[in-house]
This record gives sequence, structure tokens and C-alpha cells, in this order.
Amino acid sequence: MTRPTTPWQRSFTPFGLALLLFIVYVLKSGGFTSIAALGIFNDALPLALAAVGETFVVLTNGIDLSVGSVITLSNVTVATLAQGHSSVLAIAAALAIGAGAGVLNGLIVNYVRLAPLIATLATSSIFLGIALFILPNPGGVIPTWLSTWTSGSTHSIPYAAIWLLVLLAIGWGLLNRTTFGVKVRALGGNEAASWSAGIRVNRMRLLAYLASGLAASFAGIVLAGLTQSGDPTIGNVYVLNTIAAVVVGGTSLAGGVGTAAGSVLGALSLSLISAVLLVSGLSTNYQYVVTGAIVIGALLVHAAHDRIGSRAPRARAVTAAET
Amino acid sequence: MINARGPRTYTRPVEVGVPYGLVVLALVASAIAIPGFLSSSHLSSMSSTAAYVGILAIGETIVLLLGGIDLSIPYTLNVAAVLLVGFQSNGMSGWLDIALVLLVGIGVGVTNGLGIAWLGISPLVMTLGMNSILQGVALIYSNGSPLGSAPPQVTTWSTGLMGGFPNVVILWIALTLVVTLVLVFTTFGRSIYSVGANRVASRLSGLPVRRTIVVAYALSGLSAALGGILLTGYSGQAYLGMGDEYLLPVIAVIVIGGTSILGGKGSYLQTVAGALLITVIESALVTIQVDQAGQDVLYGAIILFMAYLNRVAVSRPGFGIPALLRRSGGLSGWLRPPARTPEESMQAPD
Repeated sequence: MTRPTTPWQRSFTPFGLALLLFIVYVLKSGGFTSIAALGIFNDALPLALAAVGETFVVLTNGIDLSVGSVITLSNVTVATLAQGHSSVLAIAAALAIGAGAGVLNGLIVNYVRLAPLIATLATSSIFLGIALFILPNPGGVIPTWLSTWTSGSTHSIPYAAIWLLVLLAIGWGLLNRTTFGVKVRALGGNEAASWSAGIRVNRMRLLAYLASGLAASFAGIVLAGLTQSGDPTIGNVYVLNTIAAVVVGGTSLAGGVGTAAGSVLGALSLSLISAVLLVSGLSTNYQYVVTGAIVIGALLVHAAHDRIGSRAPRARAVTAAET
Repeated sequence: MINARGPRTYTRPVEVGVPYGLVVLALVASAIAIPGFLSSSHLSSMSSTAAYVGILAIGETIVLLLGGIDLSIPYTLNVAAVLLVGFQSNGMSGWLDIALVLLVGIGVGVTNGLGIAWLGISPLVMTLGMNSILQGVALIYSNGSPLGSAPPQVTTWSTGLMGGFPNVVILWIALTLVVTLVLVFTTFGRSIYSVGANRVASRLSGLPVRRTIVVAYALSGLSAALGGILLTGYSGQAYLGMGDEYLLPVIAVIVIGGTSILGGKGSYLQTVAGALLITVIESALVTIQVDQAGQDVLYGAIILFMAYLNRVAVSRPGFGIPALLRRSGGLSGWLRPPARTPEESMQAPD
């Protein structure tokens, strides 16, 4: 089936959504202070990190439900190892664990050939168990410089916003300016064709899961800096939110189509929703309702976008038959 | 409607037999290691625990057989619980209360089904979004802390005994019978398998694919609401987040039983075995004082192992130690990926 929209067109919807939410926010609050920016960007950064990693996996037509547990695992690793060891060592260990977790997921999906949903659901439980073993109760020590570099700001610009831009650049570069990115998207679009074309599909898939694990462990480290402690329950909310951010960002769960920029904007939109509700004086209880409606709505918009943009009648016929 | 051709089952005896065999194995091993494990009070408490997960898993089993997934179970359950105690404290009669809450569950499921079947939204996203919406609904309705208690009927269902058996277990057995009969003998049941195996072929064969999907999700909403009602009766009250801990176990017991999450293969009887197996193992782990960390790790390992076993060995024709070894390429083959058939190489897995 031909995919009508070019990848960057897919990020129109999340960009429009984020812009709209931002305008509503400015109108409601009467301005955009650096304090508000700090809150929104600090909220969005860990989610965006996890979402960009997840994007790689979703592009391969897989799904990684273990991001929440990997976030928790790297979070408690940093908080525990930073006591008594050098903080750089603690962070390196957390990143290594995240990468290892990703590789394990990739190996199971590739070679045991379980459905990604089941494989990562199971490993999620395993990683959470290990995290609970490392740090059963919230606590631990976080180096001050990590807190400064994540929750601080320079010239009224939050560091988190700068990290988001860096993340955007890395995600864009990996997906659009490396053969890895092209191959990952090809693999998600049509695995058999990619294999016939000489792409090492298993290796690419393994790298995609590795990217997801690594990104999730970055998210866990950032969260350690933001909350200034380790917490064995911190990752729980990130599993479903990460997928929501990826979907709002225009990445197709069927694989092959999506952008890193979309996922970053999707994460930003989700944190703008709570900010907008807060300044509107609405109870944050409504946040869940609005988020759910936006996730479903965004998917409908993406689907409509594809249908309108479709130039191939045959492709449309196949779509209609399947739904 | 009864299928004119009479009963036909796509599930081979071995696929049901293996998980039940493992349940017996786990029971025997635990009984040897732990004195008093098979006492009637412990058996009764274990079967009740399994019953709650098992009842919640009815709808998810049907939806997975159909090739979909329902992630809205946690807050369908929670909304049902919150509404149940809310209506009750507004002075509504018990039976009307229960009926209304079950209707709400069906409504949630129908909405999911309509979005998936007619708007073509991916089941994962539709039910994920629905779960978030319902979380908001539960928060807004209860304002953070649900007040009130379960109607007396519900408390009797959840905690009462009949002839020495917990009522909830009797209810579970009855539901198991009904669900199995519906899946095996009715046109609707066969349609579920057909749609799960090949949606396009089912549509071309004239099956009402969209209607089947909507009904399946409605049943999922219904069983989640029923589970919410029973859990409220068990704890006597409703609280926010009470469904969160059930999503993983519900999917886990289905996978452990051997039902394929890709649809078309499995049965509710296998889910029952999965629920029993995981309950026995968890109970044994708690008794020998394995901490939460160890339980989580073992839980994941069991899911992986059973999913692997079901994929490689059980759910293929010919079962027995020699056939199993041959198919998996000998003992060393267990460490290698199973050889792909030419057909499998041609098409993208999953």
C-alpha cells in the first residue's frame, strides 16, 4: 500500500496541536513567563525522550511496553550508585543497563520470535522486579550538577528546552540522515521486501529496541535530576503516556511512517494540556478526559490526512476492504 | 443460533491439556514443599483470587481471539466500582444499581467497538484513549475519594459461601461454561475466531465483521464492569486506581493459557488454566516469602517461558516429547530460533 504523505507532513498535526494549545495557554494566562516555560519543558523532557526512543520501535511495526520499567530501573540505578561512587559512573551504569534492556527486548523479539507486545510486557515485569530489588523505597542521592542541568535555566531559557532541541536534532538526524533510519522505516513498511533488498532486518530491529532502551534510561536519569531522588514507581505512568505521545506525534502503529519531531511535539502537547487546564481554572481531573480525547482525535486526523492525500485509487480500495 | 454443522473446535485437546497439566504440576510441587498448601481454606482463597482475574479476562480473551486488544479494562473496572458505590449512597436499590453499572460497562465497550470497527482506529489507541477518558470520569464523579459502600447483594456474591464453595468461584464456573459454549457452538462464537484468523476473508464470506467486533468489545466492557462490581464487593468499598494492577495479570493469564494475541487461536478454557496456574505459583511464592522484587522477575519469566512454549511446541500439530524435540531441532534447538518455513520467510512476522 502506498503511503501518500511524506514523513514531515505527518508532524503537521502535532505541530498545529502544540501551537494551538500554546496560544490558548498564552490567552488564558495573559503571558508566558519563564517560570511557566520551566514547568512545561521540565514536564515534557522525560516523556519526549522516552517517546523518541519508542518511535524507533513503533517504526519497525513493534511496540515497547517496557519503557516505564527501564525508566524506573535507570532512575533507581543513578540514585543508588551516586552514593559513594562517582556520579559519572552512576550515569554510565544507568545508560548501560538501559541499552542492555533494549538489547534483551530486541533479542527476544528477533530470535524467540514472540509478539513484541508480549515480550516487552514480560520483560517490563522483570526490569521492575530488578528495580525494586535495587531500591525498594524512594530515596537515594542525586548529584547537584545533574539537578542543575535538568531543572535549571540559563538567561530565562530552561535547560530542558535546550535538551529538547538537541533530542529533536539527534532524532531527526538518525531517522533522516543515516542508513539506519531509512532501513528502520523500510523494515516497518514492508519487512519481506526489506529483507529481499538486503537489509539485515534483525540487526535493524535490534538497534531500534536498543535505541528505545537507551532513550528510556536517559529519561530515567533526567527524572532523577528533576525530582532529586530515586523512586521505584516513577516509570509507571510513562508506559501509556509514551505511546500516546508517539501516536499524537503522527507515527503509525502499523509501522513505517513517523517522525522523531512528531513525537517530541506530541510529548510537548501532552504537557501543555495540563498547563492549559491549570490556567483555565479547571480541575486537573479533566486532564485525563482531554488527553484521551486528543489521542483518539489525533489518530482520526492522521487517518483523514492520509485518505485525502491518497492519489492511488487501488490503495484506497484495499484500505476500505480492511476496515 | 446454533451452527448447523454441529460442534467443531479449532482448539486441539493438547493446547488445553498442557496448561492444566502445569496447574496440577504446580499444585503437587507446592503441596510437597509447603505443608498445608492443599488445605480447604487455602484452596478456597486461591480459587477466589483466580476467579476475579478469570472473570476480568473473559472479555479480553474474546477481544484477543478477534485480533484486537482492550487496554481500557483498568478504568472500566474502576468507573463501574465508583458508580456502584455512588448510586448506592444516592439511595438506589441494589439490583437497579448493579444493572445500571453493567449497562455502563456495555456502553463503554460499544463505544470502543464503534471507534475500532467503523472509524478504523487502531484498537490499542482507541482503548488507551478510552482508558484515559474513563480515568478522568472516575476522578470527576468521585471527586478524588469515592464514598459509600457496595450493595449487600454484591458483598454476598464476593465473600459468601455456598455449600463450602465461595460464591464467586461458582459464578466463575457458570460463566466459564456459558462463554465456552458460546465460543464453540454459536455462529457469533465462530465468527470471533474467523474474524481473528482473517478479517478480509471473513468479510468476503459475508460475516457481519463490524457487528462482531462491536459485540466483542461490548462483552469486554461488560466483563470488566462485572469484575469491578465483584472487587467492590470483596473490599466493601471503591477506591481510585483499583484496576491498575489488573491489566498486566489479565493479559498474562491469557498468554500463559496459550491464546494467541494475534487472534484466531485459543479458548477461554485455556485462560482459566492460565489464571489457576499464575495464582498457584504466586501463592506459593508468597508463602515461601519471596519478596515483591523476586515475584515480579519470576512473573515476567513465566510469561516469556509460557509464550515460548506455546509458540514453539504446544500449538503445532503432533505433540509428545519426540515430536517436540524434532520440531525444535533437538535439545540444542531450544537455544536457537526455530527454522522458518518458506511461507514464514515470505511474510513479515506479526
